[in-house]
Amino acid sequence: MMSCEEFTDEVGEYIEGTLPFGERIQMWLHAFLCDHCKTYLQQMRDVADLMGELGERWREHPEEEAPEELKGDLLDSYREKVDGESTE
Amino acid sequence: MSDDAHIIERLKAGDEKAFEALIDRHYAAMIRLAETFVSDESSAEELVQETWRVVIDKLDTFEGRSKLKTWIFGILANLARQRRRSDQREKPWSTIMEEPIEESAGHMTERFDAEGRWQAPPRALQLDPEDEAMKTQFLEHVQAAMDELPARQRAAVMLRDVQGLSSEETCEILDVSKANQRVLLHRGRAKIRETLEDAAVVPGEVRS
Repeated sequence: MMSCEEFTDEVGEYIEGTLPFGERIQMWLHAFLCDHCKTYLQQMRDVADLMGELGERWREHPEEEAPEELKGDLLDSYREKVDGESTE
Repeated sequence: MSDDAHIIERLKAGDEKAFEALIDRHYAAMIRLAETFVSDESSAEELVQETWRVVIDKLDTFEGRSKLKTWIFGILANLARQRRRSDQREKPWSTIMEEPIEESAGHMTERFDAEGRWQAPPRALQLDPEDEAMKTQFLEHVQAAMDELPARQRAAVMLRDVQGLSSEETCEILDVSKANQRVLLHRGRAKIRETLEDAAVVPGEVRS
C-alpha cells in the first residue's frame, strides 16, 4: 500500500482526476482505510471550495473599482474605435 | 457562453454601458492577475490599462471560441510576458516567471516518519458550512494565505479556484504545461490548507 506521504503528494492529481486508473484505485483505497489521509483529502477539497466562494463574493462585491479617470479614458478610446469602424 | 455572446454583441454595437460594466466586472481580478506578473502596484495598474487598450482594439476580432474573461486574462498575460522580454534589464518588471517549481513537493516532510506515516496528522478545520460568520472568517484566512503564495502558485490558484477556469484555460493563460499547472495549483492549495489548519483549529475536536 502507498504511504501517507505518497498519498498527500498525489492528492492534487487525484482531485484533478488525472491519475491513471490503477493509481486512482490505490488512492481511493488508502483514503478509505486511513482517517488522516481522508481528512487531508477533504480539507484540500474544502480549500478549493472556499476559494471558489471567495471568487463568488468578489464577483458580487469587487475588491476595487477601476479609477474613474481610467474608465473615462477607456470609454473615449472605445467610442473612437466604434465610431471609426462605423464610418469606414 | 450565451451570456458572453450577448455582451459581445452589445460591445460590438458600441454600447457604452456594456463596456463600462465589463470594466467593472473584471478590473479587480485583472489587477490581482497582473500582480502575479509584476512586482509593484503601479506596474500592475499600467499593465491592466494596457490590456484594456488591446481589448478595445481587438474586440471586433473576438470570435467567442473562449470565454470573454479568459480572452482578456490571456491578453494581459501575453502583454506581461512581452513587456518582460523587452524590459528584461529594467527593474519594474522584475517578475517571477522563472520561479523554480521543481523543489521537492515535500514541504510537509517533517510531518511524516521515515516510513511515510503521519507523525503530525492533519488537524480538524472546524468548518461549519452553515455558519456564515465562521465562513467569512475562514475566507479572510484563505485570502491572506493566498496573498502570501509565490506568484505563480497564486496565479494558478486564482485562475482555477477563484475564477473557476478550466485547467486548459489556465495553462494557456500562464503558458505552462498541464503537469506544471497541476503542481502549482496543488502547492498553492496545500499551503492555504496549512494556513487554515494553523489559524483556525480547535485542538482535539473531530470534524463532523
